[in-house]
Amino acid sequence: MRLAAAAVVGAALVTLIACASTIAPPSDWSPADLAPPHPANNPPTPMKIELGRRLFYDGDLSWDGAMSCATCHEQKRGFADPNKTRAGFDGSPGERNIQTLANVAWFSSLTWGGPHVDTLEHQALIPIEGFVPVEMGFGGKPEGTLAQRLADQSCYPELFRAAFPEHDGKIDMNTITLALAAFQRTLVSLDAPYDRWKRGDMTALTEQAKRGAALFESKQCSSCHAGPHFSDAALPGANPVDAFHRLALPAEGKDTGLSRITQKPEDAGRFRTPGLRNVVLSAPYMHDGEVAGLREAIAHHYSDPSTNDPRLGRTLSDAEVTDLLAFLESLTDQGFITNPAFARPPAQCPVATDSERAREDSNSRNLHNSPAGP
Amino acid sequence: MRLILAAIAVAAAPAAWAQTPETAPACKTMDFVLPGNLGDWNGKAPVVTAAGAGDLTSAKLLPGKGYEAALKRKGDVAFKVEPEKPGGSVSYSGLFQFDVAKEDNYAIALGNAAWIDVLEDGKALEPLSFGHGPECTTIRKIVIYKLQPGPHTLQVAGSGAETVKLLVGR
Repeated sequence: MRLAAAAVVGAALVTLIACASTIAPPSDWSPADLAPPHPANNPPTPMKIELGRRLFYDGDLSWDGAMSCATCHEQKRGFADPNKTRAGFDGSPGERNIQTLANVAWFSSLTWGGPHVDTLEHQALIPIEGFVPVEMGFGGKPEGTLAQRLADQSCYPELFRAAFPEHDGKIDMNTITLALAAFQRTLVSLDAPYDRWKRGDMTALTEQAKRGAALFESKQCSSCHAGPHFSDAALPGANPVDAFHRLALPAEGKDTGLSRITQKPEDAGRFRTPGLRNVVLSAPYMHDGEVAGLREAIAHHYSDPSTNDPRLGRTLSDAEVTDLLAFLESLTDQGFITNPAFARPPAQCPVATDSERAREDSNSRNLHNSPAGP
Repeated sequence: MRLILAAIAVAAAPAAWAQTPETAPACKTMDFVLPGNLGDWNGKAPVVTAAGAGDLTSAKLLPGKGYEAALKRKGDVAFKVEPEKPGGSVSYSGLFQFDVAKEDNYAIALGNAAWIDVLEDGKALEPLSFGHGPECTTIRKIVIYKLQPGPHTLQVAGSGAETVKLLVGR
């Protein structure tokens, strides 16, 4: 009996090994080769990144001080948000689901519906000053209010001087958005189990996840969720408009996506492909957050007869969907969601402020003048 | 009341822990029907935040009573535990105390989307669930905690307004 059992186990092992050896990672890219790009006018420096992090977590970037960038982009959720949409600072309704910021440095279009928003510096102005929808509430408010608010604090003037010597430490929307963008470009997630598998660790993925990875290719999920960041909006040299796809025609009165910008009826319902890094943490899904779970999100790709994309005419068995879910789980990068460099910074100013320097000077003078001094 | 809280908790499940509610639909009448112990939501009893742990006894809340709480600028309140989302320098904060007589699930109802923490034995508790208030009420958010008997501290952080309606319900 023991021999028979051993034979069964042995056969199972052989099968497993055989399966493992047949599913190899695609070789189109390697996480080790990737470094986040940055525009020529905004090279990253440690001080600029630190300033950007501080701004990202500061509620003062909203009109009433209640809402920071991190209010909606929570690190533990891959810098996404668990609500369908987010109300603005004043309670006015949100419109679209908050997107993850993982690997946002590579994306050539940065919103669900606007291919023209192609830099993080530009994008940062939308939540801070935008009206459709109102988010952080500075739109229409007296110009310079935010800059003055930051200038009135002890730490920010020093930080801006250290981060932007070429701008003489000027605090304005230009330097604010440059710093925010520099920080966001550091939000790199390339150490998920899937990445470790791509780097050659064949034990990093379960067999189920490997089958899911193979399905992801064979079912052409990867034709839109393409490349290392799982979005064709983050492929080098891609035309931003080509990353907008339609899964379903929008119902009357609903968000029409790209056609709002282009005014072309054929663009109705086209939204930018979201990245899939840490996707299990970023529910709910789709541009309006109306899809609660990943299983439903996968089904949503096949459910609407109004799509004219033949790639979306395929169906998946329950077992295949389960394999795909295991693959998507393998895109969760624990190091990314716990990295202290991405977390809210300590309250203490990272550079010496005027008052601290004055105190040091005073201490130094007192020491000099004391009988015990030199 | 527990049934009502359970219903809120189930409705809120997808948004658990996030503490920022989605927007309520347009309503003809607000706060017309308020369930159970939320019934005094419009009570508006005045209470002023403590500035720190030392004067918490002056900022006491009675469970089941609706308050209009006066907050202070963020820099004028010394939190016992640093909130996860403390708000900016122009936001308002609050520090209050309430007593729990028996172990149970308690709901903290708030009139805006400020961040709240309930401290038990000096530590911030993980909420059981979170969600917006019942439809067509001015309750913007409800966070539910399981609390043990004894004194508890309620921290309010990142309020955009100087006053906020709040109620501790069971």
